[in-house]
Amino acid sequence: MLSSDLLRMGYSKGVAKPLFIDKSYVDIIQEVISLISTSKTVGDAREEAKYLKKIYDPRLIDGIISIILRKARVEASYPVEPRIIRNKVFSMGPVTDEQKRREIIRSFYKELGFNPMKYIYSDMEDELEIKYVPKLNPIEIVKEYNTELLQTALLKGVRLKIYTSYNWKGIIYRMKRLGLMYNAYANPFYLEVFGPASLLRMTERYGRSMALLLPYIMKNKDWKIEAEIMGKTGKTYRLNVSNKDALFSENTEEYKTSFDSLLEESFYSKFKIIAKDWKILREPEPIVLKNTVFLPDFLVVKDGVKVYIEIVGFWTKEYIQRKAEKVKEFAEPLLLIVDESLGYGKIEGHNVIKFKKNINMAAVYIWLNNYYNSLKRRYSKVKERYGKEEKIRLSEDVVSFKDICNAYNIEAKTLKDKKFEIDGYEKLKNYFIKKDFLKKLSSLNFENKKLSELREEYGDYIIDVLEHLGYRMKWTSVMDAIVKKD
Amino acid sequence: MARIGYYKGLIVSDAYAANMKYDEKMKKYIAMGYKYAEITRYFAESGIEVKDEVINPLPLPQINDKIKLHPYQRKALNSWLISKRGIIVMPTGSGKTLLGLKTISILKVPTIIIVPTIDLLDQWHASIIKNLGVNAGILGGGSEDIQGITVSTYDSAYSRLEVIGNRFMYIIFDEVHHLPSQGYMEIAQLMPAPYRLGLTATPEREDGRDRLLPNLVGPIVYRISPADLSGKYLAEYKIKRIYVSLKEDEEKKYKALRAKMNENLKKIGIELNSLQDFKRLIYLASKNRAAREALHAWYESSAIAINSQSKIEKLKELIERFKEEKVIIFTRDTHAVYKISKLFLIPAVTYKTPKDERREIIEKFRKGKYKVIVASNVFDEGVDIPDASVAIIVGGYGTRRQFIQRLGRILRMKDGKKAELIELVTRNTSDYRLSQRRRSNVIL
Repeated sequence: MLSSDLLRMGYSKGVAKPLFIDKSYVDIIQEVISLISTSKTVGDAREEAKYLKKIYDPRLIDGIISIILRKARVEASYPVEPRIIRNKVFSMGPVTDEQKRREIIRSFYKELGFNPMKYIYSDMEDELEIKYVPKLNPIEIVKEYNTELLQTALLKGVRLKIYTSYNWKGIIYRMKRLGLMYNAYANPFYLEVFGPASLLRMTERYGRSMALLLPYIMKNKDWKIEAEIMGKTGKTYRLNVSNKDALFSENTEEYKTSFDSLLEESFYSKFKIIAKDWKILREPEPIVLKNTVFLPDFLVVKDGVKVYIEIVGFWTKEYIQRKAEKVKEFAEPLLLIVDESLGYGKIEGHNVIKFKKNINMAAVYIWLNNYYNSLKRRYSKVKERYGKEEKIRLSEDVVSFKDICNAYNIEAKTLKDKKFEIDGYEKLKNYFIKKDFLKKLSSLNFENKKLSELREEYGDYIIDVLEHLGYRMKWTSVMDAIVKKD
Repeated sequence: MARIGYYKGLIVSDAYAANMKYDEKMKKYIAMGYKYAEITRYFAESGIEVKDEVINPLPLPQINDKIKLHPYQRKALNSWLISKRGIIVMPTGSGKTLLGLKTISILKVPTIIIVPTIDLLDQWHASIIKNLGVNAGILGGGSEDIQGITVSTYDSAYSRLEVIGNRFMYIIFDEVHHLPSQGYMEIAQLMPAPYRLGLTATPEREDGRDRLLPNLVGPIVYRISPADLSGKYLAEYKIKRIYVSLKEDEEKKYKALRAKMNENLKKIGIELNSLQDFKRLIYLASKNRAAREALHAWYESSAIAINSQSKIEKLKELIERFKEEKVIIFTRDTHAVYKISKLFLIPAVTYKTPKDERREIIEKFRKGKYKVIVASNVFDEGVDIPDASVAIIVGGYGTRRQFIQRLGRILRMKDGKKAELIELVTRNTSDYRLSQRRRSNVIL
């Protein structure tokens, strides 16, 4: 991101337009690149670029300089730590007499062999020396400049709408992390992003998070954003930008985002200390269930036993119920850790751990281990029996893991084991499918079909089949997608 | 029974209260944090029983204070205690910090003190340990230690609001004139703490946003000026201006730049008579080439006037004259700081100075190892050096606040101390007008 004093925007009639640059700026960039050369100091390079600032918008030149300097290696060079020089020199000041000043410098020179005044502030940015500049492609700089300019503009963001057909799950995860909230809409599919305080007040508070979200949006080939940003006078402007408006970086840098709440952060770090036998993963793959998608906070794993964990901040009874419903459809359990003080209504259930103020990690650990042990006990019984006598015979084209588990009393884990196979069947993510039938399906072309229609025609297993056949989903809403082939 | 709680800056309730709005998404009534006091009052007056889980207070250590207040501090304290909300206006050096600590000791509730600079962060922290006999948390400057009494910078409080929001019952805003800015004001709005105190020597802001303060913190409950305290509680002081003229070559350059500026201003039809005009020029500069050039010429010509070589020569005389005193030199920009530092071999403090080096310099200045230091505007607020008695303003902004604050650096009482503030002003230039502006309406 550029510093906000380098933001270049045009405002008119309620619309803000970032002043993006294009290929025609390659010459100017080339010129800046030529000024930033090795063995100069940063201050000298900036000084030399001054003439360019007279010709072009100085903020543009400074923006380009800062992007290039970030790529260069700059180092302080001095014979002795400048702070030590300062301590020594200033202990002899103040000096107003020129003769005396020279004497001090000379005695210093005698003692240490260099002019202290040359190095006294060598650790300041302007005096840093440029040691190495990588070979730079001006077009890449154009792209980076535009990307950072847009990010900088979003720092003033009040509201943001994101239109994109791919990878919205990644975007939603980032949003959660950054403390943002969202609404999803269909036809066309878009996400509306805001923060809690925006429900009551126009605020730039979440602008920074929006700016940090941008790289994840840009990872998509097609994207469009519609933002509202706060102008200097408190008036808001519309800011609409799509990938077609300028050249942008394709591989934007990943910003390390910290957890939105300390609660999740501390849960993560405490869990790692207390439950050493479990592995904890942040941001597991989203779980796509029948009518909805679900993004849990954590996945914890021990010997192949998996449990999803979700820390629930603000909640209502309906919200928890909805979640509980979702969970029933899903093979792996979901443990809900619920802040009692942030919700209303009674909440009970096997999969719920309640807390006030602090999460009781021991309770979480005990819950997990109980679950693990009960599973293992059952599992070993099943293994005994299954190993001895039973063999699975299926006749249907498609059978879900769940059905097999129920019919043969086997744990899901057993089925997911690589070694577990059934003659004549191909194993997909959640289903076994007859090889002949799969072959038949693979001869059909599903491209550009609606996922909802395919589901209706075939059933939910079609999702696994499509994935197996190398199709990709272009999502049009949280629930529906168009099937695409790469 | 109603239930109210706190969620990331919002008060959420399942029952209606005055000033609350129903939100579809949350399925609750919501309001900004600072409406907390009003909301509980509404429930109390309506006779509705409430389960209140808004504040999740941090544990408070046992406080033992031995703070003795001056009569004027006691008056200020008593008028604030009536509603436990509001602003106290007192000059720098008159013991705002001690007064603030006394209120904590009286209220005995978890408290957050919000300050604008790292130096103030350190000073409050040390002062709490010394005067209240307890440790305190620090939020800011790389530290994130939150305790029952915590000192935070405005920046850190703003960015960690969601986390610290409901852990305190009482907020002290030091240098409260910073609070009404677009972003910072949300600290006051999203925190539910019912008790609030603002401290400042200069509540008024050039942009007029100080009108928001009564709503955010409370009204001004007590006010006393430097003149009221001078001699008895504050050092006696005088203010002097020394005029210098531009050097010949400087004058030539200055005139050429001013001509260029006026020519460009004419093109866009602006006359620079007020702050509004200037703001308009800055606004136009983002669209218009002539405006940009006018601004650039204004900037360069001002730099010549403010940092004239004649001032440096005069400064040299002054350093010689005050060699028995502790002197702080103020400039407008960091460039001038380093120039003066190298020329007279004086330690410099700017926003670029690393934190621990800054501490070391202040410590040495306090102990007398350094007699003179030169600083840009980082020192405007909050650094306590009791026996500094001379301030020399080489350059500055045209704001009253900066002027009063810089004066404040030398006003702290010490026996027999006579403080002196000297302003160096370049005749017949924009520097002269800056100097006039900063002194207008100052009651001294």
